[in-house]
Amino acid sequence: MSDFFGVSKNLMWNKFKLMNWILVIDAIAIVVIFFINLFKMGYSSFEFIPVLFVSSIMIVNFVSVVMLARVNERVLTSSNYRLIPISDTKLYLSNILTTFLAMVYLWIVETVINGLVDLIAIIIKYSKYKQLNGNISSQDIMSAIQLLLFMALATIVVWSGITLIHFIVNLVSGFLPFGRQKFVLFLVYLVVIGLSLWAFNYIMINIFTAFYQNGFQIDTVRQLNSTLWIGSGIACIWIALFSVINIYLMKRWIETVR
Amino acid sequence: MSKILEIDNLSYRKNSKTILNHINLSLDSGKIIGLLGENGSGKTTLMRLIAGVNASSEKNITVNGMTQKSKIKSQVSLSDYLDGFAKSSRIDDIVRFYRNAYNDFSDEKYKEISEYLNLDGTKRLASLSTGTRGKLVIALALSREVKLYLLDEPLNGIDSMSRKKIISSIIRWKTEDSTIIISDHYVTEIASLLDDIVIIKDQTVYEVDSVENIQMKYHLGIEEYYEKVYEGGLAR
Amino acid sequence: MEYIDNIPIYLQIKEILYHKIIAHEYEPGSQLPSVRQLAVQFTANSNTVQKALKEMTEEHIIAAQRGKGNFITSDETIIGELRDRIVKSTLDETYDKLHALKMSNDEIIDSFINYVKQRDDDHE
Repeated sequence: MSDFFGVSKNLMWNKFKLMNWILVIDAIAIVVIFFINLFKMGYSSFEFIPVLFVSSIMIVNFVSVVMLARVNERVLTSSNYRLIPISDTKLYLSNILTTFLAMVYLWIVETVINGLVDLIAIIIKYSKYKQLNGNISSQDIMSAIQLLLFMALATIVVWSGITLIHFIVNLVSGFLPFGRQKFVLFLVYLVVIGLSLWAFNYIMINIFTAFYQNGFQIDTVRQLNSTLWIGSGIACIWIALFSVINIYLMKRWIETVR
Repeated sequence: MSKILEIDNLSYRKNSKTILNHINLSLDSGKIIGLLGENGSGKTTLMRLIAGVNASSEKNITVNGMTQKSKIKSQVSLSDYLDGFAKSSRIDDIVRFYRNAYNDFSDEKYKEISEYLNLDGTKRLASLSTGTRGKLVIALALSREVKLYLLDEPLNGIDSMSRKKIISSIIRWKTEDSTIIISDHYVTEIASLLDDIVIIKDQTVYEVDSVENIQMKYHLGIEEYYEKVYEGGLAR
Repeated sequence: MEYIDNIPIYLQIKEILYHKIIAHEYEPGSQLPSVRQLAVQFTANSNTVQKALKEMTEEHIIAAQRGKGNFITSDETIIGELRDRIVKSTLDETYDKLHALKMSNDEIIDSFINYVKQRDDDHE
C-alpha cells in the first residue's frame, strides 16, 4: 500500500498548493474591497464584512471546483503520474480522493474564517447579525449535514463526468483520421458533450418521474430530507458507474499527452 | 543470458495511421542498446508502449518476465521530459515527487549524479536551459534502480559539453545487471557506447545485431551502416 | 575518444592499452584502472572494456587477482614479445606500402635512414 500512499502524497501536495493559492488571492481581494468600502463609506463598511465574506465563498467554491476539475483531469494524462508503478485503478481512486480532500480542506478553512468573522461581528455588536444566529435545532444540523453530503457527492459526479467526457473525446479522436486537428477535436467535443448531457438528463428525468408517479412529493422538510437522501444515493450510483468506465478506459485506451 | 525484453507481434495505430507494424524483438539483459531510426519512425512510440504510457493490450510486451502493466512499470525507467510538472516547480520539488512516487528511487544515486552534472536544486523548471533540463531528465531516470532504462533521445538539442557529461554519466551509473536502451536519430556520439543496435524502418524492426557483427560483416561503422540502410543502398 | 568506425572498439581499446604498457605509462606489475574507470576514460561500455581485458588476459599481458583487479604482467620477456609484435606490425604496413611502390630493399633502408636523420635534425 506504500505506493498508494506515496502517489497520494504527491497528488495531495499538488492540490493543497492550488487551494492555498486560491485562498490567498481571495484574501487579498477581500482586503482590497474592504478598504475601498472603508474609504467610500467609513465605519459602516464593517457591517458589510459578513456579506463580503459570504459572496466571496460562493466565488471561491466555484473557482475551486473548476480548477480542481482541471488538475484532476490532467493527472490522468500526464506521464509523470502514469509512469509510476501503481495500477490505474489505484491512481484513479487516489486522484479523485485527493481532489475531494482538497475541497474539504477549503471548506474547513472557510468554516474557520466564518467563525472568526462571526466573532468580529459579535464584538462590534452588529445587532442584525445576532438575530440570525438564533436557536439552531438538531434537526437543522442534520439537514445541513445532509445538504453538505449531497453537494459533495454531486461535485464528485461533476468531476467524474468531466473526466469521462475528456476520455471519450480522447478515445474517439484517436480513431479519426484527422483527430488531432483543432476543428475536428472541437466537433467531437460538441457531439460528445451534447450526447452526454442528453443521456444524463434523460435518465434523471425518468428516475424522478418514476418517483413522482409513485406518489412521492416534496412538501415538508422531512420529505425534502428524504429527497436529499435519495439524491445522494443516485449520485453514488453515478460516481460508481463513471469510475468503472473511466478506469476501464484508462487501462486500455487513454495515453499520456504531456 | 536472460531476456530483459520480449515483444511479440506488437502493432500500433493512431488516427488511422500505422505507426508500428508487427514488431518482434528479444533483447538480452546487461547491455547498452541503440534504438535507431529517423524522426517519426516510431522510436518514441515503441518506448512509450514498453513503459505503458501509450495504449496497448497486456499481451505483447514482456519485461523481465512480467506482462502486467503496473509490474512492468516497476521494472522500467523511461526518461520523462517533465512536461507534467508546473513550470514553476523547483528541481527539489520534482526530486521529492520522485522520492514519494518510486520505492526504487535512490537518493544517494541522485545526489552523486546531480553533483556530477552540477544541478542546482533551487532552480525552477522554467529557468533551465535545454542542456540543463536534459541533464535533469537523465539524472532522474538513472536514479531509479530498475532493470531496464529507456532513454529517449537524451542528446537531442543539447550542447556538446552537456552531451559529453550525459554520455559519461550513463557509463558511470549503469549497473552491471541493468539494460539501457538509448534512442537516437544521430548515431555518432553514442556509437562507442553500444553493444547492440535495433534499427526501426518502415514501421517495423529492420535489424537487430551487435555492433561488432556489423563492423565485421560489412566493414562499416554503424553510422555509415545506418545511413546505408536508410538510403536503401544495402543488400540484405 | 576518437575511434575508427569500422573496427570493433574492444580491439582498439586493447591496442591503446598495449601501447601504454609498452611505453611504460602503465608499469609492469602495476594495477590497471577498474573496468568502470576505463569505460569512462574510453567513453565505452563496460562490456566492451571487459572484452578487451579478456583478450589481454588470454594473451597473458594482464592477469586478474581475485578481489583486487587486473594486474599487468611483471614478466619483461612477455612485454618484450608484445613490443616486438607491435613493432613488426607497424613495419609490416610501411614495408608493404613502400614495396608496392616498386622500391628495392636497399632503397627502403636508405630512405628510412635518411628519414630518421631528418627527423633528428628537425628536433635540434
